[in-house]
Amino acid sequence: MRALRLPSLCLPRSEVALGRDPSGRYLPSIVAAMIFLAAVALAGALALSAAAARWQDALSGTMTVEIPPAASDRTAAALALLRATPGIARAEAMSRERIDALLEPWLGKGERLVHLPVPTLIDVTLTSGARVDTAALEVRLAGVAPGAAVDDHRRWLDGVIGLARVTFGLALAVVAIVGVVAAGAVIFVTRAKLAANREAIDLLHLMGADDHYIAGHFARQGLVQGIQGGIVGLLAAAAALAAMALVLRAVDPALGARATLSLGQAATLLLLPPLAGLIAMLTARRTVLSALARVI
Amino acid sequence: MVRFQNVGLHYGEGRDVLSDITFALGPGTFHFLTGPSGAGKTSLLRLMYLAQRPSCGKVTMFERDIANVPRDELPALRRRIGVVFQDFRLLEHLTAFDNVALPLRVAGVDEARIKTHVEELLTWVGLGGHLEDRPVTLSGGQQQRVAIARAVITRPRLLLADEPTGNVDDEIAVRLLHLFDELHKIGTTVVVATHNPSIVARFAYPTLHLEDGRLTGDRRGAAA
Repeated sequence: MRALRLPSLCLPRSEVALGRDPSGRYLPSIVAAMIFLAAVALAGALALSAAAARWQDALSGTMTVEIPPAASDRTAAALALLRATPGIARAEAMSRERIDALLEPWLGKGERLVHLPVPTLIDVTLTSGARVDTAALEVRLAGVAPGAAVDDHRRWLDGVIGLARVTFGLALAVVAIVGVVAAGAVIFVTRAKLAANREAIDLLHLMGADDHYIAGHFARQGLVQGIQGGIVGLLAAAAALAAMALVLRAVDPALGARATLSLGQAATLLLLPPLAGLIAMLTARRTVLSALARVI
Repeated sequence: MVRFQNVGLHYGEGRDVLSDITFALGPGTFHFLTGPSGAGKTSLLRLMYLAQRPSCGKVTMFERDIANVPRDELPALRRRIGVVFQDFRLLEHLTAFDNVALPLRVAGVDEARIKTHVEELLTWVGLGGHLEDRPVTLSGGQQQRVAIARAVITRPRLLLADEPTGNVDDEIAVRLLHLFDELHKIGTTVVVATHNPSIVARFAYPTLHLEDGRLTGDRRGAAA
């Protein structure tokens, strides 16, 4: 792996020659790779959560009633029952053309659809905030239109929401694992730097520098390198996600349009570089203090 | 200022490098530390600049028993000590200016004062034209003067020098010893480890003489 050569973020002058040993130069590259993985995982999970939330918003407050073809002559009675039910604001039967349009992606266009027995579908809109007992409604509908079924989309929506939650949990787990791996890399690099700078550190000690003074040098460089790596990783992830969005739009414009992040979600991703810097800084500081505590 | 009582030192399971060392140095005194190579001069200096704790006996520095000083209080004691190392121990990636400024930065002195004091001192030791030079570009003698400037920049109460005249000609050696002498006259306690008998003879100060890890000569009044 090639070490990243990034412009300085005004790292203060260091008495300890940090960064002169090769292990230190690789830290931004390692952090960049970690942040890339974390950002892609998190962005995917956030996009799926956002899509699930939009689907939930769109589908809550609606139901679909299905009247089997054998009972299609009972549609008017079913509509009357639905319109008289408290909590239902609107009930309209879907036209045959609309049902055919819904079936078209699976069955295609043509004469054969005209002769296909299809159920009658009724779009139901609930009054805002109203809750309707779908099981009881289905029993009452069966009285006027035998075989009528009520679908409040809950089963499908619950599945999607469950999937979104599991995906989000997995993404958080990926971020946590990435954080632990990054901290491990920082510990390794910091120990290598301590060994490489042993002479300078001994000298600083003998001049009266306390452990916090020395650890401060390592912590500052950890912060800067963590942020540098984090920015590079996030930019790479942004490019990868943009490319993925382009591909999605090419495959299905509607799907591509849905796979977007809100400003708040994008801001969450922007927190990754400072988070990487913070982890690198605190880990480096703790590693150095722990190592120095063993010398006089 | 410095008091050693029956001090011994060994590294790990090795033999004693110092045995039964007893002496005391009062404030503002000047001593030479002499003895052949391997006699323990550097080990004795390491105990004095608090790089090492004794294996036995009692070391008292600045009226504190070192055995009882908590680790986090050692830096404050070390800041009262200036050390000129035998191998200079200059940091290669820093300029002469930054090397000399190091003890002041560690002590938290502001940059304006650092600039004034460091430039003044480097000029005094004849390196006013080498402020931005890195050690690798300086001669041995120039590096030694940078190391000495770094040791005295904080006006330490105790100045320890390990063979400070080893890499310079006699004229420069005498000039450096005069610098130490001036510091001694304003109250700094000075200990200079040296092989150079002409330097010892030229400055009539007491001598601690080490032979095989033991203090065999305590000439001209360095007794406890």
